[in-house]
Amino acid sequence: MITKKKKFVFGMKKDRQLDGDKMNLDFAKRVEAEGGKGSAIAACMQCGTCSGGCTNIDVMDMSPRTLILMTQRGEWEKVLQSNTLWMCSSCYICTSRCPRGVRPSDVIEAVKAIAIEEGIKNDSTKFNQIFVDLVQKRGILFEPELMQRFGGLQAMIDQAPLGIQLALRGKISPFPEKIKNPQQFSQALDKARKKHGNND
Amino acid sequence: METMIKPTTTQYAYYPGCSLHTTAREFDISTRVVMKELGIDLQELQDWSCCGGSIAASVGHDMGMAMAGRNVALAQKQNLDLLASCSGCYNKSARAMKALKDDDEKSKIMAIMSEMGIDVDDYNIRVRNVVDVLVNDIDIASRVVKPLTGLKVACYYGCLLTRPADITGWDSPRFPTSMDKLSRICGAEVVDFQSKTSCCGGPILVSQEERAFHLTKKILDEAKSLNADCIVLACPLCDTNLELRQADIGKKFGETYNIPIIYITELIGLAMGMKPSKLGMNKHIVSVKPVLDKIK
Ligand code: SF4
Ligand code: SF4
Repeated sequence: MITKKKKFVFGMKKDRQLDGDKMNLDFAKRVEAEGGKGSAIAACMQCGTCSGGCTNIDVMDMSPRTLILMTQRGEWEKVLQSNTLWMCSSCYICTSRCPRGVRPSDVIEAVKAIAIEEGIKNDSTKFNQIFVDLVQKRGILFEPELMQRFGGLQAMIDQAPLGIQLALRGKISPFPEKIKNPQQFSQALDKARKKHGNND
Repeated sequence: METMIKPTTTQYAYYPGCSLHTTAREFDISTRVVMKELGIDLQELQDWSCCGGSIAASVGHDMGMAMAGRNVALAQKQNLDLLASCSGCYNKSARAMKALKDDDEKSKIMAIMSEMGIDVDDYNIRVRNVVDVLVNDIDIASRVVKPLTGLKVACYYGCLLTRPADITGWDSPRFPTSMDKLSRICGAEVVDFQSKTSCCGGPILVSQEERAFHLTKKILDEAKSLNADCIVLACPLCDTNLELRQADIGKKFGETYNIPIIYITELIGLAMGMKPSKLGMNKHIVSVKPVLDKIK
């Protein structure tokens, strides 16, 4: 006699968290270690509230809810390859709505850092790294340099009309500002990044 | 009846951040002159650095917290509450403050900060945003000499001013009303703006430009359909999307937008009878003339 496979347990789909044998918390632990107190991954009950409110879900290949589930299961290749990391605009809607205090935005933020550490490369990782490099350099960001290093000459040409308007209103200073001791600041952050392994 | 609430403090370590010294000059200027007029003394935070924005922590959490934590520590050294106008600087500073009060997080952040030469151990100051201070500590109503009658404004809060609540907490993360209240006190008419807490895509503006443009367009479209005379906000990053890229967004989608974007401090300054030029309002890229004409 063939027994029918149970699809639902207490009205919940089987692939949700009740599926205890599929859990692999190694990756989740790594994410939590990276993200600090922000990421309470194990607490997720897969209610989908985060996905329901997400600003960018229509262009994500994996919803925030699924990303948390995949993190719980340790499917980290899938998580690291997902465009959700780079489409997320850190708007905190998910975090302010989650009934379980999971803070999906902080989980995604932590996974981004791990993705960079694992060598994932795309426009977003490039931008994020240049941004930090430049803040590290002087302590204060110099935006024209960010545009130039990210987008090259073409970006400078594209942005030139706006740049001129801003300059005319005294809103771009020709000289970048810096803090008193940029060397010490820079070295401290360099060390923090090296420990982290993403300073390439 | 409005009752006068006494300011909890009248002196702040003022943290302008990278944008207020460059693209958001008018926010810096208007914050300084309005606060001065209201009797609040802003001491610029000495040797402040970039808070790392929404980016740094996604390259390394502890590093991001140390970047933002540095400014909190400097304010603590000056023994003054930290006041930021920029929603981003405010949010990240408040987040670092929370982390610095957590034992596990604190040791990791302090280790990086001490390499920076900063050794502050105890934090008893508060991190505040200019909108919070304006709406909760000060009796603006008694200072309004030129009500902005007939001006229709759409108040845009975005993300970082009020979310998440455990970091901010002084206004609702889902239905904030502080800038609506302030605008009404100034005599303006506030439209029912559904997009008030939608995200403009600020942190992904450069790396995912198309997406950010799409998000910003929805906000501009609603303000336009409501016939708002301007959008009022408190974040230079939102302003970059809504004002500085307004022409690009229009071009991309074949629309024309001419929606003035003004900072809440400019709006209050106008109602207090200050000259637009004194508030830095001549520095806008999208002309604010329609707004000024309307309240003449
Ligand atoms: S809202 Fe919270 S509990 Fe619900 S699915 Fe999202 S992360 Fe999990
Ligand atoms: S923070 Fe990211 S995942 Fe969360 S709602 Fe916003 S875009 Fe979606």
